[in-house]
Amino acid sequence: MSQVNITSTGRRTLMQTQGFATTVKHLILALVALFWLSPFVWLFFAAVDPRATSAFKVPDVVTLSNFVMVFAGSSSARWIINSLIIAGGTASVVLAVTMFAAYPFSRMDFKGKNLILWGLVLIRIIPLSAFMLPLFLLCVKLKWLNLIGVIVSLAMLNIPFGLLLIKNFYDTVPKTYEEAAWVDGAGILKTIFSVLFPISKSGAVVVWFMTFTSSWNEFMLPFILLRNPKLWPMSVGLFNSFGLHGTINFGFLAAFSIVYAIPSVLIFFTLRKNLVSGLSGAGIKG
Amino acid sequence: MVVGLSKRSLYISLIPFALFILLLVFCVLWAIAISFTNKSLIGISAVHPRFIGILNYAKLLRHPDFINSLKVTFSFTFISAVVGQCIIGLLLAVLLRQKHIRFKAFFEVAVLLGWLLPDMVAAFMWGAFASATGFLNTILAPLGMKPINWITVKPLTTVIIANVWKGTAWSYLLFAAALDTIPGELFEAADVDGATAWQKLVLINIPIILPTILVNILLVTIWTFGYFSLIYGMTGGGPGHATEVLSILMYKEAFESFHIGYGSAISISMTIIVGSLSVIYFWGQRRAADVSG
Amino acid sequence: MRGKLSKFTILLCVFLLIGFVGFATGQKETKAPTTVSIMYGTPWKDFVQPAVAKFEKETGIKVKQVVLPPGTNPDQKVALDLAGGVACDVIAVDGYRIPEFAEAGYLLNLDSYLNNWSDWNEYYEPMKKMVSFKGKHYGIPLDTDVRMLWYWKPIFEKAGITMPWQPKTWDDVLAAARKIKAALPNVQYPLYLPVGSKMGEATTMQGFYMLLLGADTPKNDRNRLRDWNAGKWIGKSPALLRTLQVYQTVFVKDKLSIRDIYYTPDVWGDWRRAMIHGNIGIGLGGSWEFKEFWSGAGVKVPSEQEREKLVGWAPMPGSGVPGAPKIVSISGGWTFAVNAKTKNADAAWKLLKTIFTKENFGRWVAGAAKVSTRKDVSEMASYKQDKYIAAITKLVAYTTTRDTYPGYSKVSSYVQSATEDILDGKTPQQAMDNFYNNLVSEFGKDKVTVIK
Repeated sequence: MSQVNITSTGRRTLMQTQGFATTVKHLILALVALFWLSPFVWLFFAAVDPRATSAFKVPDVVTLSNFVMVFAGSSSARWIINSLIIAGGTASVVLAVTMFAAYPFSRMDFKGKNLILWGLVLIRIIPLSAFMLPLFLLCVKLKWLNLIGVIVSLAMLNIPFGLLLIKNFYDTVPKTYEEAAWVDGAGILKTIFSVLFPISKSGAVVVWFMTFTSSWNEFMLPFILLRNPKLWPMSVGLFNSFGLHGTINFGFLAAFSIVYAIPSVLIFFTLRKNLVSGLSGAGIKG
Repeated sequence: MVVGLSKRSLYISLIPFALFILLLVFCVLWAIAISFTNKSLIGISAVHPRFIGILNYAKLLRHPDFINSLKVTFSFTFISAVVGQCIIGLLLAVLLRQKHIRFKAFFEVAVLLGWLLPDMVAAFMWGAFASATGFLNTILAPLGMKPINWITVKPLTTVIIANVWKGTAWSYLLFAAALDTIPGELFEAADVDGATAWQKLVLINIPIILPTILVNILLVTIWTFGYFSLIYGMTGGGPGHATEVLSILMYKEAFESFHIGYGSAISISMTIIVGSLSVIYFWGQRRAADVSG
Repeated sequence: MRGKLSKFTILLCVFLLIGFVGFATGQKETKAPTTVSIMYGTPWKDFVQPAVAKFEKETGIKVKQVVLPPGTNPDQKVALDLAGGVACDVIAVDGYRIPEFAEAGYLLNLDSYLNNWSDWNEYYEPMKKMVSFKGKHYGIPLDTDVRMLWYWKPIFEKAGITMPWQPKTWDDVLAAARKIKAALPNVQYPLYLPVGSKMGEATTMQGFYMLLLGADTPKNDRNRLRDWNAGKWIGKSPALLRTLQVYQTVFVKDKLSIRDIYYTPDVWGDWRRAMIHGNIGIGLGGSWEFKEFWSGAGVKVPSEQEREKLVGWAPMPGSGVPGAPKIVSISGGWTFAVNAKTKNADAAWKLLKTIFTKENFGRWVAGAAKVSTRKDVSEMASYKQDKYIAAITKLVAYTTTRDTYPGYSKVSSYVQSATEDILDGKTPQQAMDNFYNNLVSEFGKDKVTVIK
């Protein structure tokens, strides 16, 4: 690459141009990585710094006390539990409902089926803001300004997408397995649980963990619906701690942020292949 | 008719789903209905809301805050999502697919981390990163820039950049998956013809994944248009009305001024706008299919 | 295949179980009939908690206290809680909200209790009016206050401004700020003037009203937001224009303040920290700041003598326009009210009574740098002899209250919006036009008037 090979026409060889181009590309990528990773630098320093502020500073003393505070503090521990309840509850409800509902959509032909399927796709266009007000008023009436209201609301919003995903998975299962089960006298419960579900398990996993992640990250809905600080999930707890300048410190919040972010990151990297194919499959085919 | 299972049991398995969908539809209809009233959470309109027809919508069109919000939302959506996320996502997808690039996994993870982070964590991080004493100023110091609080001095710019940082990975993943479907022989044939990298990009990559690109533009537009958490966490819509996107305007009207009816009109307007964009997209797609088919 | 399946089913059941636990915990938050709940902000902790202890001992009824951490806006939270039907039995309510909440049916009418309470006769009439709507009373006034110019003495010394500072017109105030800016470029806020919607009602009261009231003569309510005789809100007036012009001078023309501090997540804490760290020269603030500059900054409050060495105050002068008041102040006040949906009205009232005894209130009010709302406490030696209180009581003679007619909170938010228009670079005339249009669109043209 470093040898200049002048051809008869005086142009540099393809290889040398390629070499230069490659270096440029790596440089661009390095800048991109710098842009994407620099905000984290402060976060990680602050998380282990017992005296962190919003200012960038390499800590003199490194400690894990902030992380201990996250799990030991009564409010933050409660927020973690609430997040688990909301995310796990929503994911389970969505999976349970769509697991059953997707079967008729996949195997049956009934009036309005395609209309409903198209409707489900279109529903995703409506911004969350449009649902916030009716959901708030409804939860006030039903006295559901608590975790149940949040789970029901989030489930409602995630079921359309979940159904489309599971239906696509069921579509790939050949009917022969079911027919064999029917010969043995299986009812619908057995058909779904024992036949379809094990085969499309990867689809179920995708739906469960995608719903878990999106509910885990959700902010606006719990922010508006949950009036009692004891019920806040981590997103709302973090937001409300921004302003408590004197009482809560940046090191704690940084550690808290890291703990909060870990499940989402972990889930993605563990399930990456399934998630991406599932997403693009259902999202584009729609 | 499915042999072996009664129609009844099939319909029963649809019931929970139907309940949730009914709830969803009910919410949408209720939102529309509320937008035609002056319902409020305090004062006399809390107890006796009146039907006022399209007055809320008429007010919206004259309200300088709404006009400002439209501008802010469109700028935010267009610049950060359509331009920022899609273009950078595409370039990254192309770059990282090439054979002689090393440390691919490292670059990928760097970009992905931004997207995987919960919104509030990103808001918190950027709040500190872009503050007067934050790391951003530390990085820019060698370039001779005075340290400023980016969030109060250049709020919309900072929020746009933060959103590009946050969302590009999605576009990257989508485009990368699409590029993977391009058969390698096409590239080999192009190499034989002596094509440059740029020619390969424009004449092979882009045309083949064009449908994916267009769909993604629509998707990110829809999602970014209604985005709330990141912006609200970083600036609360301020300073002033500088970053007051429509979702934040709706929140303020409904939950800080307690004008539920008016707030609902804002969210229905958002739906109408986004719906219209989708209709234009689908119509355009039909036309393109008709032309090429 | 069935074996693998059961693992997942178990996980599913576990999470559904957690969901039900969440449901149960959520429901437990509703109070049992033998408890009473009360919500208030941190500044009132010293006032409420001893009385709560006494109440619990005397009646055996448990009290659930929700103390809002510093940095939270109690006003906003209470409103949404009431609307959501989840507010506590006893709640701290900012006085100006009483008409709107009462109209919506959120507050319990306390007249039957108040008329049998001898202490009620001690409350000043204007204070009783503050908690009333259409002749009925919905709360007990807690405290009141005045507003003035605070200044940081070390900065004044360095800038060479004579103390005690006695500005006579707006020009005097602006001149002092300009002098500070020239002499001490490191001071980021030579003049701190509350602006924008983040500070909420503080912008309207400590900022806007303090200027508006001195911008024109009080005749025919020319210096106010509402023309009470005509029964209309004032959309345009020379006073409004002059006020907005001051905002323009401070934030745009002379840059006597930058924007940053008015939009931080902890606006109140940061204002106080900026003051005691010498980053503010002059600031418009309430009388409570004599204590809160330190306690609200999370710092131990120094002795009165030490505080007097650091911070001084002067009554806010008028604009100097002929007929305008020479000294200006406006008073607000917090109240404690009872949730109309309470299941335990008698216990809630008993709790209120215990909190608002002469002894408890008298013990707290002077030390908190608040102005008393009742005669018997104003007569107490501890109150009369407090030097600071005696000094600011003189301001009470010049003070007025907000134009709290239903709809005021909307007008207030439009005022905040108008100040933000100035920050965004609009001219005072444009900001005022927007303000007028907002009022018309909200209340209808026949409810808004223009003063030439």
